Amino acid sequence: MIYIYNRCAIAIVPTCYLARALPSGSRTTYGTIAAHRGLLDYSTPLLELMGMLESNAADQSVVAKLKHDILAYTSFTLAGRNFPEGTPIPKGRVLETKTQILQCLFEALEPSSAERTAAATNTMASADDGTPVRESLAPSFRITKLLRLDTAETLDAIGNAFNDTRFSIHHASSLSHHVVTHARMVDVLTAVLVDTAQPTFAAPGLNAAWPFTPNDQVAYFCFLAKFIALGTISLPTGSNLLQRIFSCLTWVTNVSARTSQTRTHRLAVSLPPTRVPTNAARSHRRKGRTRAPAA
Amino acid sequence: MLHDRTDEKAERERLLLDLVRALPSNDYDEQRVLLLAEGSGFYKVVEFFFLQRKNYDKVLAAAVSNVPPGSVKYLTHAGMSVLLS
Repeated sequence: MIYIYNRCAIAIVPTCYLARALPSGSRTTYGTIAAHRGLLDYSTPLLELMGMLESNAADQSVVAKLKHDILAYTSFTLAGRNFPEGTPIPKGRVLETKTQILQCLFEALEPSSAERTAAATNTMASADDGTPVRESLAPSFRITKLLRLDTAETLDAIGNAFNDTRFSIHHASSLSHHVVTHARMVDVLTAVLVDTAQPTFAAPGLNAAWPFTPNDQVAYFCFLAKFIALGTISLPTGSNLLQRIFSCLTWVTNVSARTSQTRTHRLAVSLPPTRVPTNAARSHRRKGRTRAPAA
Repeated sequence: MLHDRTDEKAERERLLLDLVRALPSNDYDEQRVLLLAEGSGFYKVVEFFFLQRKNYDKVLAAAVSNVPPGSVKYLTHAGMSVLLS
């Protein structure tokens, strides 16, 4: 790996030594994170943690621990804090740090040769039975793995980057072309999370072929709604994403709204009408009459 | 997560209200959002739309619908006499 910092010539020696001296395993994670921090390298620990997650996928307890570490590391770093101490990262380095993490997560990965062949056979297989194929050869992103671990938590972690105005399109253009802008993040997250096979005018339904549940998608739409309202994100005009957000925000509550309405109705009917003054009685009766067909 | 919990409903209503407040009205189909909000009982959002249209009787209707069940006490003769005494 090439480090673009002046300091690297001094720092590389002790860190290599440290990395070799430390035994491999999840217990040493924090040590390696600290060692890489000396090199101002924040993305390698994340890659290492994700690699460990893949190799230990069978062990549930290790996966839970790693999941926590990965999400906490992302969240802390994007909030400008060192993991696991929570001490603030020096001001001059914050932007660089966040950029490293975001680049690592949102970088488009070319599909491996194994995935290519798998996709090719899929296409052939589905050509026979006529089912539509998803673009299996679309670039994948590391963020997908995190989202599949825990969508809501990952979105929370990414939200820290959305609170930083330096990643908005106006500021980012003046900084450097390496900065991952908010718009880019939204594009990637939408491509990964939103099941476009679902109609836009309804909330996401169950789709076994889609890796994310309706709940995950709802979490994403809420996330989008929050940042659109804050003015951080602006969707392009004519984007059907906004329609999806509206459908989604108003969907789940339909059930509860209906039950509460019937409850009001029942309450109004069961109220004892004894010795009610005439005006109130009339309005009460009128209320009962208008509500009655709704029951 | 997606059960009919009142706090979650309130959270969604707040999100939707913030959203429609922040967006310029030609960005979305206002009538459709109004219908959706009405259907889910988001009366604050409904109120917001009718206030924008200066349709004050509808605003009042939405405000009345927004009253949580059980919070209205009907005035009885007994209650009246207590009030007057």
